[in-house]
Formats: sequence, structure tokens, C-alpha cells
Amino acid sequence: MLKDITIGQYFQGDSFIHRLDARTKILIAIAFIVSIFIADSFIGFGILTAFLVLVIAVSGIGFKPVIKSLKPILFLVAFTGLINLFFTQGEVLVKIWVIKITKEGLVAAAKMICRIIILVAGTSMLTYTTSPLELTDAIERLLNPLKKIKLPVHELAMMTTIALRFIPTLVEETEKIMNAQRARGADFDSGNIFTRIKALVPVLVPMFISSFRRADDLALAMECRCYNSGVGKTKMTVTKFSHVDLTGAFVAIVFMATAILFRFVF
Amino acid sequence: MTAIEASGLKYVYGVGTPYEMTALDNFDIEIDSGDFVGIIGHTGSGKSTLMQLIDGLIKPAGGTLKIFGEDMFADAKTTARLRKKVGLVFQYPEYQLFEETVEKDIAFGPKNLGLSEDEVYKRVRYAAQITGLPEEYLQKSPFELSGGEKRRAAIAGVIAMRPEIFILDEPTAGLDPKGRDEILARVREYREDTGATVLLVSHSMEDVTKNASKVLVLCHGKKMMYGKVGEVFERSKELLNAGLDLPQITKVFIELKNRGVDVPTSVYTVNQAIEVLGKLSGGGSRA
Repeated sequence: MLKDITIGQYFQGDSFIHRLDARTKILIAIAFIVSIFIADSFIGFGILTAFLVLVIAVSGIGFKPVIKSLKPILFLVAFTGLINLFFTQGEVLVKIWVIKITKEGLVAAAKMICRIIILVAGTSMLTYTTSPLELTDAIERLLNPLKKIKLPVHELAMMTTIALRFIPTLVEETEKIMNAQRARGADFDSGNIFTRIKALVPVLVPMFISSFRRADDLALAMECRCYNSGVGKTKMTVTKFSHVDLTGAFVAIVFMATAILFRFVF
Repeated sequence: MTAIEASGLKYVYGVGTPYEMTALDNFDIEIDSGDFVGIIGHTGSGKSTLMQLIDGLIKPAGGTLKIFGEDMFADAKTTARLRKKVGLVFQYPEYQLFEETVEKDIAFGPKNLGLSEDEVYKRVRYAAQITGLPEEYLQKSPFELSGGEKRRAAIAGVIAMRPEIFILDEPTAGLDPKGRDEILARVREYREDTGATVLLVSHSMEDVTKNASKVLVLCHGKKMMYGKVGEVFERSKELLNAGLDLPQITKVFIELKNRGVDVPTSVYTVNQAIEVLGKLSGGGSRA
């Protein structure tokens, strides 16, 4: 169950997508998210999906991990879908007691579902193809101008790195503790929502304690290596935009622009 | 009676991702009821996977696993029922302590078995006594205990379920020599008291030779050897080639043989060594 959480997971590779500068990928991802919300047509979504499929195919990761990343949001998708379906005013198609389904609701629900799925699959491609280190380094560099207004950019980037770095570790540990409690007869998979929440106490308490222990250990290890918030630190690898990024950005812009155009032109 | 019977057992991690890895492949074994089996193998040899399969925590990709003759994975109900016969102590079990008091934590398992309060009370006392936790510790918070005591409290939590198959995954990791011997003595005591089958995973050859009657050697997810302790440690070359260690006393005897002393190399405990050397020098046994 927990293994399905693939956020922050990185699949090593040497594809075109992997070689793109992380900054390019972040900017494309942001543009992608924006265009999902501007492109308000099914044709637009189709084009964005085509772009996504192209990215997945080029990256060589395969479709399985991407589909897996959608599993945890199934509930969210179903929930927003239903809300849109039942609470949109308009031309009534079916009416049962107080519940009515409108034509507009149907369209809104379908659009919302498309949006969420494309959004999650698209953003997981960013983390799948970019190592956490590259990712936070890129965030730090993109936010660099904000240092002028005294924003602790380096610290924020460091915190993000650490948070991302510990997601798989914590997932693994949660799984271990869940198994250990399961071995003692704990049952996490049956009963109503309240019994299930209560059943998680034997997992949450040890997790809480171990997180503090880990944080303590990590702080100590960083101090032992004289960590000083990156003052006067240089980078081991200096990333540069190259023609690869230009090509990537160009392809991305063409797809997104067409997707958006369909809303306004047709 | 056969406690554990596996045939063609297979387990694969990360199916469908680039990280796919076969942890256990075509694994067969028969473990008799009441045996004390030491399990050795280098990191990633499939030991932990095997443990979790025997407790029904993960489902195999192929093959069958029978616990006391019943198929562990026949259906969810059977798995849940058979799991009650198996007690698994994970590595660093002290990290799973969560209750306010040691007593409540030990009672977690038996309560989940659906036992009466009376029976739970008895079992907690029994487990505490076997693991050598003094009565007054039961009302303490588990987080006040020392490392070794926490470990014992966590093991007591599994013993309180009175498993017929008792599995321990490196129960002595990170403990001092006294703590190691203490924990293993407690495990032996539980086995003598209940006749349980015990599986002990360990990196310490001494721990294995001192306690187990049989040894299972795993290598790259496959069974490399399974037999009596003496038989396994006699094949020292193969063990060393597999990246495993030998008991120190065995190493001494191999070296003696290399230097021309006529001794057997299947010696694996100090007491055996005393006996063999006593015969060699023509004197009597000191032990």
C-alpha cells in the first residue's frame, strides 16, 4: 500500500528528459500546470496528454510507475468528480429526489478529472526524471534573485532537499513498523474509519519518535561536517543551459500553446 | 511433524519498476517442529524476505508455503489464522514500542489475539518473567528503559502471543556481549518451556553455533546449505566463498590443520575443542 507512494522517487536514466537542466524542467512543469488550467477544452487536454505521453516515452521510465503514481489520488479524483457532478447548476439531465445531474455538471466533472490526472502524472514526471539534489539545486538557483529581499533561499533549498531525501526512508520505516505491528496481530485493513484511525496509533507513535531521533542524528552529523548554511560554498557541478534545453523548451511551448489556443480560437 | 514446508517459493521486489529484484528464488525447505534453526547469509541474501513470508506479511510471487501442513496463502482468513501461530521479532524491535507502559505494550499482541483480560494478564507476566523484566518495570514507560531492556520488552511483546514458530531477526544486533548472551538464553528458555520451533537470523556465527541445532545458509535468494551445525561448518571453503564468516574456533582448527596438526575441522564450539584437544594430548577432558 505504502509502496504506491512514489512522490520524490527518482528513476535513474540517461534519456533526453534526464539530460535536460533541472531548471528547464521545473519551468516547463510550472508552465504545464498553468496551461492545464487555461486550456479549458477536451482537445486541449488531449494535446497536453499527448505531450505527457511523449515525455514518458522519451524518458524510458515506462508507463507503469506513472500509473502507479495516480493510485493514491483516486479518492481525490472521485471526490472532486462527484462534487462537480452534483453541484453544478444547469440543464437537468437526470433527477432523483434532491440529487440532480446536469449536462454542465457532467462536463465540469469530466474536465476536473482530466485536469487532476494530467497534473499529477505531469508533475511526477519531474521528480521521476530529476534527482532530488538536482531539483533543489535548481530551485535554489531559480529563487536566487529573492536573496536580495533577505529570503533564506539556501536554507529553504536545504530543507527541501532533506525533506525529499527522507520521504523514501520514512516510507520504508513506516512499512517496517506496520509489518512489525501486523506481526503482533494489528489489523490496518478492516473496520470503519474510526477503528482504522485508532489502529494507526501503534504506527504513528514509533514514527514520531524515530523522526525526532533521525533529525537529531542528522543535525549532529551536519555539524560534525561543519555545515554553515552554505556561506562561501561553491558548487561541485555548475549546470548550464544547453541546446538540449532549447529543444526541450521549444517542444513543450509548441504543445502547450496549441492546447491553450484551442480554447480561444475554436 | 513439519512446522514449515516451502516449495518453489519465490519473491520479487518492485515488480514493474526499474528496481525489480528477485529476493527469493525457487526456495525449498522443510523445518521440523521444535527445531532451533540458525539462518545465515550476507546482506541481501533473502533472509528478511523469508522471515516475512513465513509470517504471511508478504505474498510470494510463486510456490507454496505450508505452516503445520496448511497452505499459508490459501486465502486471507487462513493467513490471519496461521499468522497467530508465528511470532516474528524484527530487527531493532525496540523501535516498535508505543504504549504508555511496558505492560500495555506487551499486552498489545495478546489483546489482538482476542484473549480474555485474565489470560492477557497471565501472558504479560509470563513474557516478562521469561525475558527477565522485573515486575516493577511493567508500570514504567517503555521509553524510560535502557537499550537492552527495551529490546527485551519488545521481544516479550511477541513471546506473550505464545508463538509456536518463533522467528528472531538479529535480536542481538547492537547489544553488548552480556546483553547478547542474556537475550539468547531467554529465547532458549522459551523454547524449552513451550517446545516452539525457533528461527534465528544472525550475522554472528558464535550466536548460531551456541544455540542452533541446524543451520540454513542463504546465498543470493537461494538455499545454499541446510543441515546440522557441524555438517554446515565443515564446508568452510564454500561458506568463505559465499562471503560468510566461520566461528572463530573453527578458524583456529582450520589453521591448526594447515600447520600439520591432525585435527578435524568440523569443530564449532569451545567445548568440542576442549574435548578434541584433550584427546590429542592424551589427557582427560577439562570440561
